[in-house]
Amino acid sequence: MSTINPDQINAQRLAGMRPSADRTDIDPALGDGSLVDDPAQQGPLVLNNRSFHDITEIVSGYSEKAPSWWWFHALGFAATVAAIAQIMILYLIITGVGVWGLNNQVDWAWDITNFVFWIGIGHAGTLISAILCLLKQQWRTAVNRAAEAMTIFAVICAGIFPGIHVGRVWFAWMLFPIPNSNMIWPNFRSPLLWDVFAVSTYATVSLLFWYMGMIPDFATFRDRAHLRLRQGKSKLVELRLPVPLPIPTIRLPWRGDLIRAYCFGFLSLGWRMSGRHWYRYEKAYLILAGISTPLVLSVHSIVSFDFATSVLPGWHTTIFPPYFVAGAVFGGFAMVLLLMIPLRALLPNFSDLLTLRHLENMAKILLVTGMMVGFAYSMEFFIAWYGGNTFEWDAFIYNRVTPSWVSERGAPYWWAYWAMISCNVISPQIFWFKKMRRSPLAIWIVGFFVTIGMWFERFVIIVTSLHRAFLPGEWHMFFPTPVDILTFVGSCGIFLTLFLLFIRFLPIFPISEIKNVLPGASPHDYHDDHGHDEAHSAEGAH
Amino acid sequence: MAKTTFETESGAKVFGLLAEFTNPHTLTEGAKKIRDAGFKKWDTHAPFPVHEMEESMGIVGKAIAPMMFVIGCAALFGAGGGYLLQWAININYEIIVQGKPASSAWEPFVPVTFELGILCTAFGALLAMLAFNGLPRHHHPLFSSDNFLRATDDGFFISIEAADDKFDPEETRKLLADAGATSIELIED
Amino acid sequence: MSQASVNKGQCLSQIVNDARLTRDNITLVGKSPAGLVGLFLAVGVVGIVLTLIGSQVVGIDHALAAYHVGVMGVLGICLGSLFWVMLSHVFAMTWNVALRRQFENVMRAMWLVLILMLPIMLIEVISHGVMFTWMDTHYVSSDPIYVHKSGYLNVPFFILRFAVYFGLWLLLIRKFWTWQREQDETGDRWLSNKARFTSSWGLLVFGITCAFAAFDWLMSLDYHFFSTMWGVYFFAGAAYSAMAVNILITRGLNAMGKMNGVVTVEHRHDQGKLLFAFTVFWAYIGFSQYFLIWYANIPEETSYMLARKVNYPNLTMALVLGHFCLPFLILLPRPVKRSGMLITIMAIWAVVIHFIDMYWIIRPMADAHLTYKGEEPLGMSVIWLDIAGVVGVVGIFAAVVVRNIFSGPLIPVNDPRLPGCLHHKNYV
Repeated sequence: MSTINPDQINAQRLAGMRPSADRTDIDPALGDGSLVDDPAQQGPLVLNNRSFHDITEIVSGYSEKAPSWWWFHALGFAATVAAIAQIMILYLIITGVGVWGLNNQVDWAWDITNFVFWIGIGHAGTLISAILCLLKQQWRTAVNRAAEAMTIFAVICAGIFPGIHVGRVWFAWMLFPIPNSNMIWPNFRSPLLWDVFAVSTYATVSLLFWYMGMIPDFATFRDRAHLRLRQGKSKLVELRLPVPLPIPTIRLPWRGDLIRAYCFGFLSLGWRMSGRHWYRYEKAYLILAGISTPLVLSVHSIVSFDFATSVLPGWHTTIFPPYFVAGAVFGGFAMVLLLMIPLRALLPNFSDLLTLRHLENMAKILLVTGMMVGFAYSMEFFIAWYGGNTFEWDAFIYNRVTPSWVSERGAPYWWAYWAMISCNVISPQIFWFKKMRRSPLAIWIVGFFVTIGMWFERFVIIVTSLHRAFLPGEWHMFFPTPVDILTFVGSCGIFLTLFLLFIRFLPIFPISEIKNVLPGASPHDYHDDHGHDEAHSAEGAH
Repeated sequence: MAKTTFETESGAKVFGLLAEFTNPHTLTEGAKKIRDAGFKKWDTHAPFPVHEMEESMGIVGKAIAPMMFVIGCAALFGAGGGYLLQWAININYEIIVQGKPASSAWEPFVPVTFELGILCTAFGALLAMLAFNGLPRHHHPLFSSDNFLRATDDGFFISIEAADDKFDPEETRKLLADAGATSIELIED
Repeated sequence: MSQASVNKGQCLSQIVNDARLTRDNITLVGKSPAGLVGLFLAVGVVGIVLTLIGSQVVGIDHALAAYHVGVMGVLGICLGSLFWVMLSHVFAMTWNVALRRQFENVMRAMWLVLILMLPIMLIEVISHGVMFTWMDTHYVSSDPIYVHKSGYLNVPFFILRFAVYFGLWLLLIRKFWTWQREQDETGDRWLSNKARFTSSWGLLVFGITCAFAAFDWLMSLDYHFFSTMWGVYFFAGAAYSAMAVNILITRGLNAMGKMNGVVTVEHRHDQGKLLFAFTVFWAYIGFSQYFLIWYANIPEETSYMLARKVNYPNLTMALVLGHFCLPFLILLPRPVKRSGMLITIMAIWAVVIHFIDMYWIIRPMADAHLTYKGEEPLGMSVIWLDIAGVVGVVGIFAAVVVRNIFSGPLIPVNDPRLPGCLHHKNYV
């Protein structure tokens, strides 16, 4: 029988005050101090002993201070790229979908690839805010706001493609069950119609969730602007040029804080940090998190139904719904990392809030979700053989895997399949090494590959399945036109423009939530002066 | 009983007292004292939702039950309405796909029913939260205090309204001071 | 770093002074498991004997199907517990440290599942397939679908895979359990890191073996049928039932006056949340699988669903209502998850419905075989045999689990995350 009550020595071991027999020291490579290998301890979520006021200052600072040079350059570049997308879309609407490389056999290609790609990117935002909220993962506070913003922008980009791929966009109202004089109603048995409902619900609920989370932070922005106005500290708006040209600075006759006070006053809805309000707010937020979780599962599942309800080899497989969801989370996390790691270097004090511990956690999620999609790839493959359906097996072994130069039955899109496998399954494997998942550069590079790999995954599913269906007589290649390519590139510009505007004007960290995970936020953190019989630790809720 | 109203020396109506506390712990302890003193129209203000504040304020369950009911109704409305919409349209405008039964098949209606249920629940949650909180609200007397604006930064406050039956300018001020307030100010309406 | 050092001091004082960690509260010292073990064993033996009688009176198909339901059910519970243990390690979960030992006690019964599986394997192999018709080479050699699959579905490979699955599972379980016991005794907190790393690749191994085991022992009963989702479906039910069993064990121990203040209403609340989450997850996976098959309407897939929907309509409906609708609505409100009584009822129900789920998968195959042999399918007319097979397996399994529970402390007493777990609270 083992020792039951931990004695003094064991308790000291547990508390990390006495080394265990087999291990005498802690790994010295602990990075920025947020990483703790000792299982008895938990690293801090915010570095450098930041106070409540520091958090307010840091996060408000990003929005209140004049942006740095790089922001203007990045915005200028992104907006130009976004303009290309607008031009391409206009050209498409004026001319018709013939400007894309679609043909009779491959009637979905880049348009739907981009749609699924973007909608997947959005899923990480909902996952971070909703699922991690439900799982009480407090480290989510560092990234949830930016990820939620990304969700909205990604859904905007996603919404463009099915919208314009219908050809005659002025008939898009027929997607909705609107009473009309022709007595024509939508077909509720079509997965494409479910998409309309799923994506629009997703966009709306994400927006509500994002907005609701920001209400207290808007109140913070509002009160700071008010306070400066009352104390006479605010200045007139100056229009400064981002480049050093000898043009005098223009001064507008308004105070910047007046505009801020009006806008954020309107958006914060009169929030006054009331205890009664917080109580209802937390409940309602939890409900939103609770319903967003099945929502995010349902959205990508319904997207996968677009393919899986058909009988096309390569499309009809029952694992598609969870597999698409895992892939979406995978690609979305990669995009979060892709954006946040540069910001960490560019914005002051950002790395205090987004620590190496956060990055390591997200690297682990990349590894896990990468293996989940790997699992789904192998299941598809196994069942394609096991199912005994020749067409299914050919779709996998010849149309995807076998390079055309190896076998004459091999398909020309083998490189897309292998790009997908190497980016999605192989590249995250480097995160088995502690050094790699603690290196921002390595994480960024993997995030980049994963983003590419996830685009290829959708391309593989859509184009390789379509380009060689049942009859060799209908086999066609797909070649993208410049319009195809520029529309996709332009959609990246739209996404980036919106994201840059977001980091300039809105609270990029959830101020009140970060304060809530600081030491000293719980009433039980104060032990000095009272008769509490239980001594609570600051990390009680992990 | 006629409600007493209080006025300042300059004749302005008194909204109530605002007391500042140093940290979440003193705020919680202070709130317990106010709760035990039997006040109804009072509130705490903190830059973030302090754990278990609802217990310290004695509002557990009471404050959220009607809100939860409304959200539940919204969910039922959304899902029920969603199914009904599809069913009615399917009856009126029958589209037979793949030879599947037109009226008995419920399966294809699941996704849209689910989505509309979620949509209405989300709107219900946000709007019910705001409605029961009495928001949006254009102005509140507390905002006139410069000090109170720090509630969105790092200030912890308790406000007691003059409209409360138990309110008395001197007694309540003393109670707040006893409860651990570091500074107390009078807020005009 | 300052926060970490603050926690050190708190941790020390809490552990040494915590009144809840007394020998009386966290062990079953002085209590004998004999009564409970004897009771369960008796129930189990009666069930097995009835099954044996049934195999002579009603038919070997039915008896073996009933027994198969029982074995697959407890396999799911065992595997689910292994999953929860690995998940807690890999996420370094704090809140469920006090619950983990009970998952471990269940997962340690895996050797019993192996022994219970052996008769099935023996009977199937010797009689060339009672339930597994593809073993009957005479019958299937003319079936081109089987011939295509014979590279995978053949007896030697089937036995090899059986050995590999159990080998890997028992290896993982042995590793975790050895470390746990060592930590109990030495308080070496670094063992938690070892367990964490092993869990990370262990979950990968688990995912693959669990899926293929489900293919082998459930999906291949109808060897024409295939579904990529199958492994996930089996896993969803396994994790669900394992959580339910964990709730039952902790509730039982609380009822015996143990683990007071260690496993509280807060832990129960989270157990309830996870039970609810897996209700929804199972429904999501189950509906997606059914729905895609229904929509695409491919014969080899649809016939599987048809055999269950048409021949066993009440059972199918029971699954829809009992595995999703009712638990979803009942477990949704917060007070239910925090109520000891209601959550116990729901946990019992979850275990029952898990076996009904296995029954829904396995049982129709016995009828299919009878039909093939030209006999009249019995449907659900000999329900006593179906129950006897399950009860027999469950009784013996429960006896072993009870013995495991009595064999040591009820919580990982020296787990470094125990202090955090003792102060776990759901704020919202």
